[in-house]
Amino acid sequence: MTSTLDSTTTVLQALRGNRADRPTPRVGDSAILRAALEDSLYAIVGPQHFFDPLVLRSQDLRFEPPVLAENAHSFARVRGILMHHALRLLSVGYSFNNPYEELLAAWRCEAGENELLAFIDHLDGEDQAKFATEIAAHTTALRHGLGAFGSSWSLRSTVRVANLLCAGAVAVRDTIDLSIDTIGNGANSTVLLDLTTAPLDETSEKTLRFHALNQTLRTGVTPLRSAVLSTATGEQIVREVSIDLLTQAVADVLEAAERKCQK
Amino acid sequence: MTTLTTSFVSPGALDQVLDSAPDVTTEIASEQRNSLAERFRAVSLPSHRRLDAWMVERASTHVTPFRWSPSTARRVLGNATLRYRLAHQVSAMAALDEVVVDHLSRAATGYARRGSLSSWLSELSTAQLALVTSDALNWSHSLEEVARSVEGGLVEVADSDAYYDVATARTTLRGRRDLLVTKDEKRTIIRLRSGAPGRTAGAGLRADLTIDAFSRPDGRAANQIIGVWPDAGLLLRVEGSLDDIKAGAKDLLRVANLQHTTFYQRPLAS
Repeated sequence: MTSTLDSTTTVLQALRGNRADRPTPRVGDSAILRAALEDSLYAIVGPQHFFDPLVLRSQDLRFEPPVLAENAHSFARVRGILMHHALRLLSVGYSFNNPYEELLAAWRCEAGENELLAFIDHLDGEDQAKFATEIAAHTTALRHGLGAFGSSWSLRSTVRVANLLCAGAVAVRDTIDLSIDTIGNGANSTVLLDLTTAPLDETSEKTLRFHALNQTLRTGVTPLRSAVLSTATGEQIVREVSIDLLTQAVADVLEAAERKCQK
Repeated sequence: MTTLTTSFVSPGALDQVLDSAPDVTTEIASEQRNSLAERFRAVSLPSHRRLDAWMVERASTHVTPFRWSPSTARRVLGNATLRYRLAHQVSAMAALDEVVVDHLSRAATGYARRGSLSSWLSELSTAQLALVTSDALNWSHSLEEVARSVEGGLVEVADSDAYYDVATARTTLRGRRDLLVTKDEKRTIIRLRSGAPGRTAGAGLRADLTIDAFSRPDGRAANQIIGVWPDAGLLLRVEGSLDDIKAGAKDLLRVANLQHTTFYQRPLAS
């Protein structure tokens, strides 16, 4: 894994690259990848999943889920949710005064009351203050790491993907944190971004590939680049989406399906 | 027999489906309107009710009460944004600002009903409003992508959904429609959907097609309805044949019947 910690290039600059170098959109990959996935997946899942689809998500790409204490797990989940909300707000030009309070309010408006919000509401003053500082730090890292959005860009945050394979026996679900393209442009300008509040590791490359594969299957057009940004360290990985990268993503999905079926 | 066809989203796929619209246009006669009204009257409820495709799709399961949220507001705001953007040639963000300001001023001047979108938007904080904006922009971009993928023909963002009041049956039918495409004199309704199509997705589209046909004074049904599920990369098409419209009406009646049965089987309050 090669990640970059470069304060001069923001992840958006790296993702968009030079406008003049953008190739024409690739449209042939989707059918090849779908065929490769369906052939191998059917052999793995068999006919027993037709009424109870096997659901594969990006977390299934991990060999072992991270082991955290119960509280730490809740904090990590809330941090992740709030940072995704921060990205959504930044994508429409919102500027934060008190990130913690504003993000909680935004989340409450969307999700209503839930277990995780109750967990946050029951924290004592000291824990609340510590967590608020942490969220403010992640928001600052996110703002600096992202850079500025172009006015002509078509931004879509929290893009949900549900690719149905093998006649619905397998559902590959994904959420791409940010997808950017330029409407009406003849060149391939679609780029994808994943946001994580943890430091980057080997799984980050898999996640980035997983997003590229899902976007290709969903739209029939291969995206230009895919990236991961960590708000914990400011590191970023940016990859050009090639057929080799997508083939590797197919292998990751098959490996995850096999592992999940064995359980 | 109903005609449901599926295809994967890819450049040119929507155009292919649009071009393959059937040539025959079905017309609803006044006897058919009367027959529908009679059947709905037979299963009416003491209070007024509104039926739509969502209820057809979820007929057997519990439907949670409606509440405004960024995801329930995005379609109304997103469609209005694209309509404004196409009419005034401004950026999507500027169009959405206009749409939201219009809602907020309606609430501020006292023209918004309690529980309406305008009144809900006026109660939100700036951060919450930004989240609503972000969801509506996503919807508007997806709809614009679909609209721009149509080569030739006239593409319009629907001014409103289709409503049909069933005579003396205290029932209003609501058919959702996002884009209206007229190509080679054939009319197609396009619906943008989120998630992945379930087993009842075809029935939902059929219900929307039926309601649209009944809502038109001339009773002319669209030649086809296409559901676009961008999340799943799928297109589903139902043709506007008489069989499909009859099946759509039967599905709506089934929901009305279910509501009637549930209402009259409930224990009386003591």
